[in-house]
Amino acid sequence: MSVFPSIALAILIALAALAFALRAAVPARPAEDALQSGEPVPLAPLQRVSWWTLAAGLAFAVAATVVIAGKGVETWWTVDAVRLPVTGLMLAALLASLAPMTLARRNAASRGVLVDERDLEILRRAPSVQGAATLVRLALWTVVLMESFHAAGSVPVPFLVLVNWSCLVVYALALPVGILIGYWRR
Amino acid sequence: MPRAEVHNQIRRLRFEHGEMTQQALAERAGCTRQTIVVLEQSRYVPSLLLAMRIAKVFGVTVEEVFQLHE
Repeated sequence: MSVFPSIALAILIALAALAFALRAAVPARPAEDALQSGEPVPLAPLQRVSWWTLAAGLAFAVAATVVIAGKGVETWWTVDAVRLPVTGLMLAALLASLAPMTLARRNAASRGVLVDERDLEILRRAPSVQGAATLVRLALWTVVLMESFHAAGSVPVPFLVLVNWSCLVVYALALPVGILIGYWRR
Repeated sequence: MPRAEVHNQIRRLRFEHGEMTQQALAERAGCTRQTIVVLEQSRYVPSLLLAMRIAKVFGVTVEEVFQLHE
């Protein structure tokens, strides 16, 4: 069976997610009117970008996972037409995670305030979620690989590469998650 | 140490200043509208700098805007 339909689908999903992420990077101007009682708090620009970053990053990561799971680790590792698009999807997931930081940097050049002291405090605390998520991910990989390949005596190289990719992507996606948790708590 | 809360009069002061919108206050104080929203709901304690800026916008002292309740 040809791998191209699934790759094309994965790329299509990735492009759609990227388009949404780029659209979200331009924060909409909030309404001038004050909140009515009981009305939910509007999303802060950083919060909105974090939601879209998470959605785009997840779409890229899920697309890559679907391709690897669908074709198998061996095919992914040996067939260029599978491996290279997956590499692209993983890199896209990493790049998408830069959006919140980009917004914070754009703040200084903006006429209005995109990110204020409360947003920066939330942004400063978010990396603690990244550390925890990466630790959990590494622990899971270690247990799974140890139990799967203990008898063989060594872990095949493709799995080691997968460990690297998955930890990088989890680390990247944990930033918007940490930011959203920060807004939810405060 | 007893639990302390910081209450504020931002909503009343906005009303007394010609129904100033949250967005207008945010722009003049140098923060986002969302921060004004959570401040009015007493869900966020601002830095001294932001507190002084908000007080300056209304032309009052910080103590007239923010009160410590223990």
